[in-house]
Amino acid sequence: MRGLSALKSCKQPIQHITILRTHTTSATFSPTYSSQDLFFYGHSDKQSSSHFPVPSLNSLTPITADVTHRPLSFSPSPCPQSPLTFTTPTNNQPDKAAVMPVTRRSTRVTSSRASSSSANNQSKLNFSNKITKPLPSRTNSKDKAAKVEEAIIRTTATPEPVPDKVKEQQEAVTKLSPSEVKASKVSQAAINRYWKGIEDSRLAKEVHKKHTSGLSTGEKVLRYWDVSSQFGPCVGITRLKRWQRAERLGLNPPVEVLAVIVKEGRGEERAHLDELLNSAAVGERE
Amino acid sequence: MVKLEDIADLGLLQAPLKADPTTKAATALERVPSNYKSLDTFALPKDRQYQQQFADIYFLRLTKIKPAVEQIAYEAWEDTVLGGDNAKKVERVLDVRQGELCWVAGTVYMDMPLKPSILEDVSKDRWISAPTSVDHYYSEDGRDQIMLEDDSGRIRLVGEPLKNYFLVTGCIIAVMGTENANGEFEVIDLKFADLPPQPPRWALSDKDKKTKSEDLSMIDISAPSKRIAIVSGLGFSGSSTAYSAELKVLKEYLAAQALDAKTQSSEQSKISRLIIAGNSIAEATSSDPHSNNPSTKTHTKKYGYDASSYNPLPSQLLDSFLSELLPSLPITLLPGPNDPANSSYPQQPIHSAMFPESRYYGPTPSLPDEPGWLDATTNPFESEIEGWRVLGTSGQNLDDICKYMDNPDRLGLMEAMCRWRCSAPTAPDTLWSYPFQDDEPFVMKECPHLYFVGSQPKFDSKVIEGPDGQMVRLILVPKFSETREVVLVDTETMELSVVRLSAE
Repeated sequence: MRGLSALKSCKQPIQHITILRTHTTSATFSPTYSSQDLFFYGHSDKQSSSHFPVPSLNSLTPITADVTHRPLSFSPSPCPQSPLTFTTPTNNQPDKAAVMPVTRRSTRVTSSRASSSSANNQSKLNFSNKITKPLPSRTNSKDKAAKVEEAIIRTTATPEPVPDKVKEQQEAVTKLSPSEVKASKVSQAAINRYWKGIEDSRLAKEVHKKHTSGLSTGEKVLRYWDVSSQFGPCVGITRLKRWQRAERLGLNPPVEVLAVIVKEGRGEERAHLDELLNSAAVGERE
Repeated sequence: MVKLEDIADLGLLQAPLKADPTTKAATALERVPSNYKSLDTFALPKDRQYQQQFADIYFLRLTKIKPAVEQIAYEAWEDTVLGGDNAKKVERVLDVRQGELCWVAGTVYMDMPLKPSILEDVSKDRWISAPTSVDHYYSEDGRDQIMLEDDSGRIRLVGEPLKNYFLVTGCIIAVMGTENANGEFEVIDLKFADLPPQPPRWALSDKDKKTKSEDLSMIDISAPSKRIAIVSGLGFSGSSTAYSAELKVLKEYLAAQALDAKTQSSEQSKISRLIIAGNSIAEATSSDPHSNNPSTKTHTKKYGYDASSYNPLPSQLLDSFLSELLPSLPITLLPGPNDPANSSYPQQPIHSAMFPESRYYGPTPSLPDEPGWLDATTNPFESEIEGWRVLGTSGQNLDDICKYMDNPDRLGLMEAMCRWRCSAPTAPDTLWSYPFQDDEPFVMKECPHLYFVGSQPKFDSKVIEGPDGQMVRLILVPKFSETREVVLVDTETMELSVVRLSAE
């Protein structure tokens, strides 16, 4: 599934398709194909030094053959946002998604260069290890534990107490407070029931459903939590810390909110309003 | 070998005076020990963030005090029937309805046009480099408005009973009344949270002292009477020497070297601790950059500041003053608005680098949690001295509140602060403060026994009582540079005596 999210973030797949159309004349393929195929087949010959997998003509023949018979079985499910439909890889082919390279716009080579790369054999700048777009840094607790582990190995002289210390540090990092443990036991059905209760208590019907159509119940629960002003202002504090502060002050914040935060791992997220107000943050431009 | 008796008649050398058996403590005076435990209520972490909003402070204050206020309001107004209408409790400020008698609790906000307002500065494009400090915020022509606010919104308060109470931004009150036709809330009655619960004496100390005091009353008559000396506004200055003679006399007095032996043993050695409540260094008089006098022309600025304008003399004088007293007297040093500490409230301790001689009496590096003989503390400052819970500030909180009204009754405002349960209600509105997010230390969780404020124009004191039998001694400590007075507090009877020093 990771591969698909990378697909959605970059716009290249459409470019891939145009290249195919200009080069293949006899290809009678239906629009419903998987770009996974492209990447897979293009990967077989790495002539260009850039990461951009250029599908060469000979590697395209499996596609031009009978479209219904595919070496990889994919279940077609249309992606609602892109004009061309992509099929999603099934779960029994997870390694294929790992093989697929993650491309970025900055590492993309223009089409003219791509077509002539195999012909001229010019040396290219290698963007494979340079990420020029700032990535959102997610504080992974496992990364922290790994860094701590490195530091301990470097600083402690005796090797024997190191594994004990490493274990202690990892335990300390992943230890949860009792309310978080309780929250993780709250089921998704309980969260849905909680949200339904809030919606039923409202007198008026929801008028503009289109604004909340893309949001999951968890996201709706969290946004309602943000605007519940009796627990304090939501700007300038992460949702988890606000919940913990409300509990410490005895305001009895709903445990379902903590359940959504803990289950979806959104401990460092701030309120949606906070992100809108601080819109000087880095974002993608269309 | 020459013996002393041989040359004694020459008059140059004399044997030490024989001890008079009638006077006690003839050889060396001993100072009474001080029982001291300082709390770090107002200490800020070294790696503090400033990303938070100030609204969190108001939210924390309201959440912590609101239950107490509502309890008192409920007991007072539960059965009130006015004009056939029962007073009802309303949850949020905006839930009041016109013509309905109700009561609600919230935070007071004073809308005063003379208050420095950042929004006004931005909208009128007034980019002043340093904020102008105004003498007073109240306006004479009644443009001031009192509002009640909580997380839902604000409502204006009007009514005659408001004039009987001191109100500043940030105090939590409960008001009973009704909304009138103009959309304002007409106040009929007003209630504060009143004094918080008071801990017993020796609450934080060892058990043996506690059991002893449990049998008797809190005042222990058999124990030797000790005194705490509180002084403020010493004002060591590099330029002015008007009161330097009195400072010398003060040093001798505190070191038990002044006057005669009898008073030394009876009074001066009984001083167990000295508290310096701020403004130990005089306000820096900066030279006018626009003056045409060539001698005071500012020199070229290197790295953004004029290094030649720094005068190290005041802190050197303070350091030598402290180092001469410290060998025998423990000192607690609070920073003030003119001292080299951070300017926002709560001020953090003055760094020990400012005292090259006295810092050896500070906390030992191996035991950083135990205060040393010289305890540089935060401002405001909370501690337990001789068992009594003491809360003290250097004056910024009281001075800021006094700007909100005409002819302020300072002692009355100190009492009001205790009854509001907040030691700095105007932070962060007009008093610069750190944006607390998790816990706000200005809310008084426990009532102190002794509350002093330094750098005041005049000495004054009184004892106030609370609804549960709490007793607080309030002290206004005058500025030494103006009045030459030192306040002595008797630790057993909580009586005060003021010593005025003069060098004739």
